[in-house]
Amino acid sequence: MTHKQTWTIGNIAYWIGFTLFFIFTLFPLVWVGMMAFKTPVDIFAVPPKIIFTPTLDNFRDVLSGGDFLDYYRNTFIIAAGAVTLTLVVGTPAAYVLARYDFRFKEDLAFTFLSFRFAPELAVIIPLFVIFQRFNLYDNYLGLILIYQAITLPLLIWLMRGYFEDIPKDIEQAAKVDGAGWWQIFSRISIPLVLPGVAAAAVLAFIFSWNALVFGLVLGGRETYPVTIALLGYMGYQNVDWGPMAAATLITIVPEFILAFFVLRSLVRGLTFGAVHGG
Amino acid sequence: MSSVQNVEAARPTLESAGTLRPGAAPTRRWSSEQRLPYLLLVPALVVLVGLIVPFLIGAYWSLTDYKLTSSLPKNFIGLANYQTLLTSATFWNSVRVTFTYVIVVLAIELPLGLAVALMLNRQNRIVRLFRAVLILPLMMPPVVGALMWKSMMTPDGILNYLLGQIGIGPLQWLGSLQLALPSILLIDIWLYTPFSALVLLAGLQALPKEPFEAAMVDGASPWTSFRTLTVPMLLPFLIIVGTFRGIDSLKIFDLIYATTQGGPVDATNSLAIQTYFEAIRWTNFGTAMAYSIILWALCYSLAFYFIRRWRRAMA
Repeated sequence: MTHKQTWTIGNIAYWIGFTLFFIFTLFPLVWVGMMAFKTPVDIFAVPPKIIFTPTLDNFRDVLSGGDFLDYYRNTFIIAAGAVTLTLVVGTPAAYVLARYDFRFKEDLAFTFLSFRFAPELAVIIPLFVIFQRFNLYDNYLGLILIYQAITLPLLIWLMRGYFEDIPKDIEQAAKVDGAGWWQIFSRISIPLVLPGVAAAAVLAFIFSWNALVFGLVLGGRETYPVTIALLGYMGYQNVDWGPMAAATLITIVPEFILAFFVLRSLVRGLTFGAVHGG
Repeated sequence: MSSVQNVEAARPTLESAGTLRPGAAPTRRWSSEQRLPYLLLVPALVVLVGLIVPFLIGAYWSLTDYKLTSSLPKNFIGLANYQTLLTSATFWNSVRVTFTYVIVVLAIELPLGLAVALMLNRQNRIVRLFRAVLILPLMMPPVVGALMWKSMMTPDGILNYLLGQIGIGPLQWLGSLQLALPSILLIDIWLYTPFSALVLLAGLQALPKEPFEAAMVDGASPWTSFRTLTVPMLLPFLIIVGTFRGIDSLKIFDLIYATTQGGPVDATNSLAIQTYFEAIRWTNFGTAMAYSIILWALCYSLAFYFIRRWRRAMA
């Protein structure tokens, strides 16, 4: 702050509000982060222990025993597959929606978007029967296909905006130079939106990584995603809080690292392109 | 530059060459160049159809007595499923739970998000750090947020310990008939107020400075300029937050599934949770799809309402 800080009532209220919300946001993360390094005795200690001897037992437990790593791998295969398919299918569509005019263009764009706002179960319940008939139930390919409901609207709306951001003159000049449609698209437009492609792909990956209900209904023992593995740490009576906390950290830390790389595009991505900056 | 001019000069010749030979060749070249982009829409359209067809099949099922575990063929029964729902206490309870959820989310996350955005709308190191922290809840699976809070909401958990220090509780949190829904809403507020705050902060940073300076010169109080300038100019951003949070709350599933699964009794049984159990636990696919279609209609009405308001606000 450039002007002199004065302790007016407004200023004190500001810092109280700021601190309270800061603690509210950070506390669960810190608490569960600590839990992951605690022994069961320390987890249930009264009064709660802030200072304790950290242990890696919970991580050892998660990574050695059980199927957590299988679920982790499943999530990676499904999310990476879904993002790849979406990039291939969605990027050209986004370009066409950004650069060409045709009848029902906006209706088509909004139909893609509408899957972001539709209740997932309205599509998933029929697919529960259809997938079993076509051997897509509990199958990576089946899940990659239905995850398009998450990734494709995001990619198309984000990429459309990024393509629209390219000044038309650049493409026009290339056209005048005799470049064909494909040359312009692949040599000029795509390189110019590459940062946007990366941001959209990372966000689509994170959203896929976070999804639950698709895997819950259409996945099975072979394909369950990590979100279902996490729920598995809660039995009916006893909960393995330590391993659950460790598994939680293993699940979210890669996401935080990925998100860090696209920090500047996050607000734009979270609003499907509606809000820039932030 | 000169090459551009050369091409420009050459163009009329090319075009007249086309008219000289009014055969198929030039026309086809021109039209294939024009058709190619539309062909590139086809893969995305295939995926779109792949999503719409199951939905339409499901919509038809909502007009049948389809039960997955029954060996009898399904019969067309018209709107009977919907009629049954409209007289079912379970349905109206789910409607009540869902609408309560949406209203509380909007009533808290919008103003709280705006307050946080206003707090973050300055430049210093602490503020920048906090802005980065705000992103963390948004990047994690909602299931993880739910489990984090669930581990703190146990009877002998940290929240009850802290409340005990100031003489409150112990509370039953997710296990209590009265507190289960507020507890889930608390988790929702923790997870998604950052969304509201970050979008509104982007809005605040996009506001023009002049009207505020003019208002200050005119002697307007901060409150007056907030009410008459900030809020109206932020309206498009408030509507976007309302759209995303409103519709995601209408179809709330993950948080409830990870915490109470609709219980205790049916205190947190939202429309999406009830749809899931109707289909997967009771295999009543006809009824479940009737629930889905009603929820779908609610989501779309809200989306239409918000998009219309947004367009009006942008105009």
